Formats: sequence, C-alpha cells, structure tokens
Amino acid sequence: MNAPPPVPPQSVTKNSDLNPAFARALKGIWLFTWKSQLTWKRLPLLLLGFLALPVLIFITTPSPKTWAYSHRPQINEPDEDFNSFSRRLSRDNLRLTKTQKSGLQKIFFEEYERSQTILDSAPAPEGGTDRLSPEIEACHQRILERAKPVLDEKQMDRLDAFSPRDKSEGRRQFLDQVWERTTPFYRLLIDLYFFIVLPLNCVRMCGSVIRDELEADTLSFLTTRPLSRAKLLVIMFLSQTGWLQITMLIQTLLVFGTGWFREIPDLGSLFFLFLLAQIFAIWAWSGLGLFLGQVSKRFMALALLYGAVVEMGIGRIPTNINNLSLMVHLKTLLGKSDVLQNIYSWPAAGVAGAVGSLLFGAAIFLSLAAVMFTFKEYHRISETKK
Amino acid sequence: MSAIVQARELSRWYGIVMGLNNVSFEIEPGLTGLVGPNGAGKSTLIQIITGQLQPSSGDLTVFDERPWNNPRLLKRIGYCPEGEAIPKDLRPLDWLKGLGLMSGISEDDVGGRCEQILDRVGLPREHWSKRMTQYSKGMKQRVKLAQGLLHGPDLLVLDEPMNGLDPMGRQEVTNMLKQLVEQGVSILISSHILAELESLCQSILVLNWGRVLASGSQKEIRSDLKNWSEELTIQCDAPEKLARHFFDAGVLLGFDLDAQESLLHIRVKNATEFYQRFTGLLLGSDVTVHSIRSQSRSLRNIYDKVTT
Repeated sequence: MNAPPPVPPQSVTKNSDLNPAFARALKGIWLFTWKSQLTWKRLPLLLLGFLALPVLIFITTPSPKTWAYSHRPQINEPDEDFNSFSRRLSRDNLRLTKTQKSGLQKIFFEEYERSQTILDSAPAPEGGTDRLSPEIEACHQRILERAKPVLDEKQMDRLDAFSPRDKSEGRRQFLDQVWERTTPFYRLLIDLYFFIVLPLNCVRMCGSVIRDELEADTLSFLTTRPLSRAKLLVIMFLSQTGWLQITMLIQTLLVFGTGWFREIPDLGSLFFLFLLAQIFAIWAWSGLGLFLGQVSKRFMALALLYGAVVEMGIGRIPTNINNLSLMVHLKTLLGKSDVLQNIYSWPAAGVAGAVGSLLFGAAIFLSLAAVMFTFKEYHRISETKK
Repeated sequence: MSAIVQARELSRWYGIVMGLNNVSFEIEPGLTGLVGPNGAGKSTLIQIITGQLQPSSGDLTVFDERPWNNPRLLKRIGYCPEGEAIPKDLRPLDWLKGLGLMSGISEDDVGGRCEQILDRVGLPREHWSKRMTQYSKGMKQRVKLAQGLLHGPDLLVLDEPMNGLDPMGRQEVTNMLKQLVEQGVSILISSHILAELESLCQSILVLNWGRVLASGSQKEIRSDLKNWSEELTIQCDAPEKLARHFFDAGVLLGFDLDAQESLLHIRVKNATEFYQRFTGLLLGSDVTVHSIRSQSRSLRNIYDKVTT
C-alpha cells in the first residue's frame, strides 16, 4: 500500500525577495568551482600535477655539494700520462730502461695521487677550477725533482717539456659556458613552467568553462538563473581564475621550495616579483582561453595557433608591434629581476606599461567573450558538433 | 484571466530545420500540458520560454516580457530540463546552495531553503551526503525538480519531469504540482505520459512538426473536434442489429463487431448531428443497450487525432 505523499511545507522564499547580486552569485559559482575540483577522484591527478615540476627540478638541478664534486679539478690518470711520455721518449730514441721505467712510473703514480689528494681535500668554490693549474705545476716540479736520479740529461729535458694534464679540461670548456648549476632550475621555472605550462593550463581551464557545462548538458541550470549572460560569464571567469591563482600559487611555492632546497642563490628577491607576474599572467591567459572557448570547441588548437603567430611570431619582431604579444609584457615584468636579466637579457621597458598592457589584454578578451556569450545561443546538439 | 505566455507568429529555425513554424497561442495561469511526439517542437518552445533560445521571427512573451537575457523575468521562472544530466562530483545541498546564491537567495536563508526544498521533493535525507553521480534516475529527477522550485518561481517549466520516477514518486510529484498550482504557481509541463497529463492539466497545447495543432482546455479541444469523426463503443444485446439500424440512418463511417463481448465499435460522420439524433436512434432500434463509452474522451485519443 502506498504511503501518503508528504505534505509540503509552505514556501518561505518568494521571488520578490530575491536579490541576485554579483557577489552573491560569485559565491555560488565559486562553491561549484572548488567543490567539483577538490574531490578524492581528482586528487591523485592534482597531486601529480603539483609534484611533476618540483621533481623534475630536483632531479636536474644538483646541490652545490654534488655540483662541486662532479666539477672538482681532476688531474689526469698517471699511467696515461706516463705512457704518453714513454712513447715520446721512444720516438726520440731515448727509450727508458726497465729500471728507469719502473722508477719513473712509481714517481708519476705517487705525485699524481698526492696532487689529487690535495685538490680533493678543500671543497672547490661553485664552478671554480682555478686551483688546478698551480697544482699541476707543483706536481710537475715534484716529478722533475724526484726524476733527476732516475733519468739522464736528455730524458730530463723531455720531461721538463712534458706536463700533467687536466682530465676535465675539454668538457669544462664546452659545458661551463652554457650550463651552470642553477641553469636547469631557471630553464624549468621560466621557459617550461611560466611560458608553457601556465599559459596552456589557463587556456585549458578557462576555455572549457562553458564547453564542459554544455557537454555535460548542465548549462541550462546556469543560464536560466536571474543573471545577465555577460555577468554570468564574468563571474565564471573570476571563479575559475581564483581557482587557478590558488593552484598556481601552490605550484610556485613547491617549485621555489625545491629551488631553496637545492640552494639556488637569490631566490628570495625573485619570489615576489614572480608571484606578481604570475597573477597578471593568469588573468591574461585565462581571458584568452575564455575567448577562444567561445570561438570554437577546438580552442586548444586555436591557442597553439595564436601562440605560434602572435607570441612566437609577432612578439619577436623588434618593433612596437610586438606589444601585441602578452609574453613581451611578462618578460618586461620578470626582467626586473637581476638574476633573470643576467640569464635572459630581455629588453628593458616600463613595468607600469607592462602591467597595464596585461590587464588591458585580459579585459579585451573577457569583453569579447562576454559579448559573444550574450548573443550566442547554445543548442547542445549543434554546438557540441562544432 | 490574462495569459502568462503569449506567442505571436513565433518561428524558430535551426539552419534549414524548422523547430517552430509560425505558431500563435496563449497559455493561461494554472497547469498546462505540452504534448507532442519527438521533434514536435516542445523543447524548442520550452527553451524560448526559459530564455535559452531566441525566436527566429515572431514574438513570445512571458508575463509580458521577452525572456532572452532578461534576469528580471528569469527570477520568476523555474526550469527543470529533460534528461538525467546534473553536475558530477557535487552533493545536492552544495549544488542547490550554489544555484540558490546565484538566484539571489541570501546566505543566511539558502541552507535552510535547500533542505526544505529537498524534503519537499521527497529526496530521503540519507542520500543528501552522497555525490549525485551515485544517484538513481528518480533521485536525480527529484534534485532537478528541487532546483527549479528553489527560488519560488511564478512559472515552473518542467520538461518530462516524471521520467525515471516510480509510480509512488509520480504520485508524490503530481500532488506537489497540484499544491503548487493551488498556491498560485503556474506550471507548464511537457510529458509523454498522457494519462498523467490528462488527470493533472487544466489545459493542453498539442504540437507536431513545429505547429500548434490544438490548444486550450481539454473540453475546448474536444469541442473543436466536434466536426471530426467520433468513436463509440456500445455494449448491447444485439450489436449486429444496432449496426444495421445506424447504417440505414446514414450516420456511420464504419463499424466493428465483437460478438463474443456483445460490443459494437462505431465511427460516426458528424459527432454533433449524431448526438442530437442519438436517443431517437437507440429507441427506434429496439435493442437493449448496457453501456456506451466514447473512445474520444481520453487525451490519448485527442492526441492521436490531432497528430495523425
């Protein structure tokens, strides 16, 4: 037997009492944004996203101790140098006797080992190899002194002209000019994270703000609320960028934390400037994403095209037209850091102009998206096919 | 009583596909059913009424205002869309709170209001803490209904609201809708379950191929159909004799006999003329009649008639 239907209580809310204000609606959308993002199901992916870059930095950026050890001055192997000297004497018909050979070899081994012990005993300054040449010379002098009773005069002349070699000379000459200890950190922080991961993430998240609702067939729950369409879109933008600011702040803290752990110098001076640039970057890239999301379902492809044409193309033209590029303004902002300026040598320009341009860009993209959303009808069946 | 929805020469195309074709109608306050087969234009009409689509030509007003991008009007409209789609990964209270805040309910009131409305649509409290992806079809339907009622709308537009509900749930929702109407809320309900609409709706709007085929109260529509053929089932002791008598009187279009059940199914040419002569014809036939049932009384029959 059916239970009697529940007696509904009288409605307490009348629509005349409603006050659909901007701030109230923002709180409502914000509730959806963080509650739907912060779920156990999404947590592993979120953590993976947070940890990927710090782990990469941790792996590729050595600590000063490790760097110093791997870049410590190293004298060449004694048997290699001895054989080389021995071959040289043979070519000059001054071949070593068996006794001479064993005696000189012993001297080489002992003096090379002594020199290497001296070099290893004091930690070298970061990237420094200045102590190697004097030690090689000292080693050479000791060998000459000890070899006098072993070799004849002509052989001694040859030994005088022969010097122990620097084992790591060739490698250092090439690598140390382009790759210092801190280079991987800055390359990952600026080139990968700030100019690739951050823009793509912002475009992806904001481009899909409306698309995700449309594909889930839940957009009508939002568009039938008493808000103008433009206001609804702006609120969704602010809510999504709010979430991005938080997640990217966590990401930045983790990256800088890894840098601090790896003893990257002058991080403190860069940190606040970087955060400031990131705030503006998120607004600008998110505005672009929101606009491209309104234009097409394939907004990521459009974003890559935009990146190739405007950021990589127009942005590199050395005239004022490069002001169309958002990256140019972000570089101007970050260029105020001496550390980054030393690495990248970005052209100097006014910070106020850069900030203004980024905010203007975000406002333009947001306005265009709002206008499109106001006049565009979303019919799920037709729209999802585009 | 003034109409709450007025459409004048309203058309809506999707490219070359016609959604609504030059329709004019009015919907009075109360409970109105929207009937039509798939592709009839029901969803298009609902989307125009709820401000999600714009007319291609003509005009539609709700409470004398155009719905598109009109927050002042949308405050007075509640909408429960068709289908099972609801946001993933959210709990019903969170979702309703968010929508309530967007609708303009104050922060102090929104929590209590959401709980009240979930009770009202009959979603058991033990399910409130679950994420909605775990919900059955019927539970999703109840939450969707709740969000439409949340802000106390004057017009509630329901697209297939009974889908997924069990018979008891349907009865509960039907009672709730009736009570809402008693409280002064107008309801436009689209459904394929015609028997439910028949018992629920004061008036109906029949759509097919983007055209309004009939509109008004069920009685008015039947009256409009007076010149259409009428179908009757008569149980009598001599169906064959009665059929011959009607045939000779020239009122029949056709008939079927069910000798085992002593039933005579007839289709008459002109219902008005037939009923005027009906008593005399029965008396003159000298046949004992046990029952007479009009097949055209049901909404299903009206629907079938106007859509075929």
